[in-house]
Formats: sequence, structure tokens, C-alpha cells
Amino acid sequence: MPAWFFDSVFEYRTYVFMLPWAALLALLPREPLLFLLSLWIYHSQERAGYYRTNLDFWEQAFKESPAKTRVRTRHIEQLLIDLERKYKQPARRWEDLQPEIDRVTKLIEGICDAQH
Amino acid sequence: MIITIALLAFAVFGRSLFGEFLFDDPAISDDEDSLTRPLFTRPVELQRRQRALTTLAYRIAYQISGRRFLPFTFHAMNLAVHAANVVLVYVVLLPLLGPERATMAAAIFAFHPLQASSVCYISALAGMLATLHTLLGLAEFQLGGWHLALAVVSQYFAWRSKPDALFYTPLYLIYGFLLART
Repeated sequence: MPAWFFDSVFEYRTYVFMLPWAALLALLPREPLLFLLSLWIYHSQERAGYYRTNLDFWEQAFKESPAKTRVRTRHIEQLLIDLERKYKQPARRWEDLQPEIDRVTKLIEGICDAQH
Repeated sequence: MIITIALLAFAVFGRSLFGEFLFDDPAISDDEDSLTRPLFTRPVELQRRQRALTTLAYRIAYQISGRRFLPFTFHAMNLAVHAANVVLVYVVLLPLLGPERATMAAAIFAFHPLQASSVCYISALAGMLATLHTLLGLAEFQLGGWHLALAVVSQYFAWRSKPDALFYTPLYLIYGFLLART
């Protein structure tokens, strides 16, 4: 089963379910298992590298899973709704909203960078 | 051997140590209301209250970083929890699989590339802490007797790390069934 399938369907929620999966795989004959393990050590290290910077992460995430684009879009929508709600509060100053505006901008820039 | 695997897991995913806050992580570094407060005070935000142990872990990382949101410390905490989980996977699977296969299973758990999504992602600490407490619970469960009470406490901590841990409880049934067969 390819990693992108697990990633797009379960994302990081697979963590605990790796326990039964690992127990089952451990019943394989030793040689193929050692071969798989060596591949996985290399691939894990590569993936850990992808997670080092925002841009690499976005690029990897969008390459692997269109579902994540939808999740991020919904996230941005929610942030904009929150922003509008806060903007409507009478005592709120424009400067107070700046961190949230920066955050939305960063998210949108992330999507644009990843898609080009 | 198992300690070596745990340390190797630390090394393999160590590339994430110098990474940034990413994806949903800025919600942590922006959350000064809840995370910069003293360790055992009640968090303001509902999700931080529901995930009390995760909030505590973030507060500890914040304090260790010298009252700063330093990604390195948060990543190091993820790696430490993963290494502890690797050892616990071995302990839990030892009575079912024997020493050699349990070591193999712990190695798969330690190095599988899918684990990068959790281990390298600061916001996934909740799931990893829930797993840590579930594994502790299973380790207590296998001892039986009064240890069952400790298993319940561990599972409660798992739930307070991440409410989804409620759905991990069937693992006890499966584990108990498999233990009875060995």
C-alpha cells in the first residue's frame, strides 16, 4: 500500500494504528523484512527532511494529496470567517487583526507557491 | 537492542529538529494566552482544556526553551515521545511475539516512513502522547490484578492527551483476546 494513500486518508492519525500493523508485518520472514526496514529507514529520513521547512512540506503535501488542498481551503475560509467576526466587534482595532491577516496571507502564499 | 532502535529512531527523524513551526503549528506559537501561563493553571481555550496533558507538554517545552516558542525544543519533545513509544511497543508485543519478532515490530513502528507525519509534526504530539499512555495502559493490562486500575488511569491520561483516544480502547479487547490465546 503506497504511503500517499495512508497519508491522504489517515494523515498523522495512523500513528497508533501502526502498532497492529507493525505486529503483523513482524511475522514476515526475516530477510525480506530486514530489506524493507533498510528501505524504510532511508525513506523515513527523506520524509523527515521534507518536514523541515514550510515550503517543502506544502509542496510534498499537495503533490501527494489533493484532499489536503481542500482541507487547507476550508481552513482559510474558517480563518476569514473568524476575521470578519472579530472585525465586527466594536472595540477592535485594525492593528489587533494584523497577526490573523498575516496568517491567512501566509497560508494563501503557501498554496500559490506549492501549485506553481 | 531495543534501546538502540529507539536511539536510531531519534537519529532517523532527527532531520526535523531544525525545522520550523508549520501547517497548524503556528496555532501553538500564537497561543500565548494558554501556553505561556504557569504549568498547572487551567487553560483558557476549550481545546487546550480537553487536551490538558498535551497543553502541559507544550508548556514544558515553552519553559525549557527559556520562555520562548523555539521549534527545536518542540521537535525534540516529539522525538523523545516517539523513542519512548518504540520501547513500549516492544514491551507490549513481547508476550505475544517473543523477543526477536517484538524487536522487529518495534523497529517497524520506529522507522516506517508514515510515522514521519506524526514524529516531525509538532501539532501531532497529542496523538503521540495518547499513544504513549495507551501503550502504558496495555503494558499494565498484561500484568493483570491491581495493575488493571493503573491501565484505566493510563487510558484516562490518553483521553486527556487527545479525546480521539476513546477510540483506542478496542485495542485492549484485541490485546486481551490475543494474550489469552498465548
